[in-house]
Amino acid sequence: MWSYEKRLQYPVDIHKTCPKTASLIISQFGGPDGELSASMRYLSQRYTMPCREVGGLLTDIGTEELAHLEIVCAIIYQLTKDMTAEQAKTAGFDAYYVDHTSALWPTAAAGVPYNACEFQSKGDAITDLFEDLAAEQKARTTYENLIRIIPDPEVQEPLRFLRAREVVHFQRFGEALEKIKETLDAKNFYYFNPEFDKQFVKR
Amino acid sequence: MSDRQQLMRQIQEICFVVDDLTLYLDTHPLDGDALDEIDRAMTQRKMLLCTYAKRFEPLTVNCIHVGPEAGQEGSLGAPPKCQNGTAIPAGSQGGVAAPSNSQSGQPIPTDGQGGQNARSINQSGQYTKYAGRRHWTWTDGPLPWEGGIA
Repeated sequence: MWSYEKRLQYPVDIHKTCPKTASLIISQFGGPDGELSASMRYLSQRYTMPCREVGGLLTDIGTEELAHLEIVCAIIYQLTKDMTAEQAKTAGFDAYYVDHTSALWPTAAAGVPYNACEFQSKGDAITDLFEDLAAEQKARTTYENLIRIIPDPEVQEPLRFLRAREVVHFQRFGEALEKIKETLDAKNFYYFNPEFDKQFVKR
Repeated sequence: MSDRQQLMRQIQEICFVVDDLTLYLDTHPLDGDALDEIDRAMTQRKMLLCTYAKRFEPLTVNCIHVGPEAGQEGSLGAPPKCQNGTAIPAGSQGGVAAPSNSQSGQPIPTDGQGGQNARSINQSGQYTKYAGRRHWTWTDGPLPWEGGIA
């Protein structure tokens, strides 16, 4: 069950309208390696995780990704809320403006709308945790790409925070993977899938 | 930075400590140092959230007060009972006062002077239409993504 806290996890205060920047950052909202994708990935995988502590970790990180989603959306919102029609014509943003005006809608920078194909919930503990480790690295790289090309320091600040959080999540998932390995056959990790072949799981 | 922004910044910082330690403890449940630190941070967090709710508006469902006396003294009603059942007096001068146990007898200020930033959405600085009346305070205050306020 989810509660809401009326605050951002990290402050966002942007004074300069820039639809071009918004059209790039939108990838961290609805893109393949964005926060929505991460959140849905972890919140979907958690149900069948055999180790309760890892299920708890997936829930907590999945929830934090929703908070990051909110930060990304706040950035985009502040970059476009005072946009004039002239600014809306900015190349790269104009098509989005036609369909959504200045509202938020999850899509990638390249125009691919958000969809569940952006993530996998495979039902095998090792597979899913490797998926999660990869997801955090992909998100880190995306943030680094954005930080490199967006000069506005007011935009860079929350992006740097979000990038640092991805690295921390990566570490946590690494620890979770080690924990899962303890429940597996020490001579052959692939001997059974602890999420499905429950007869082999140590109690 | 206005009082509202300052207090919000402190809340964001302490909540971040709790968030980060939560993830750490999920994979290191027996780490004594981390347990001590999160204990301290959680206490501080509750205190700050309570202070914010009294001066401005509630940030979590736990901080909402709608009892019959709510609204009679300003828009926030009687001070919520936080920690050991003692009411914490509203912060007085700018910044965040550590909670003291003295009942100052000051009336709780109505939500009025928050947000002196020139980009405040509401130029009058008020974030409620129902000041002084018993009302649902969850809809008071700026929305987190607005910017320029807190």
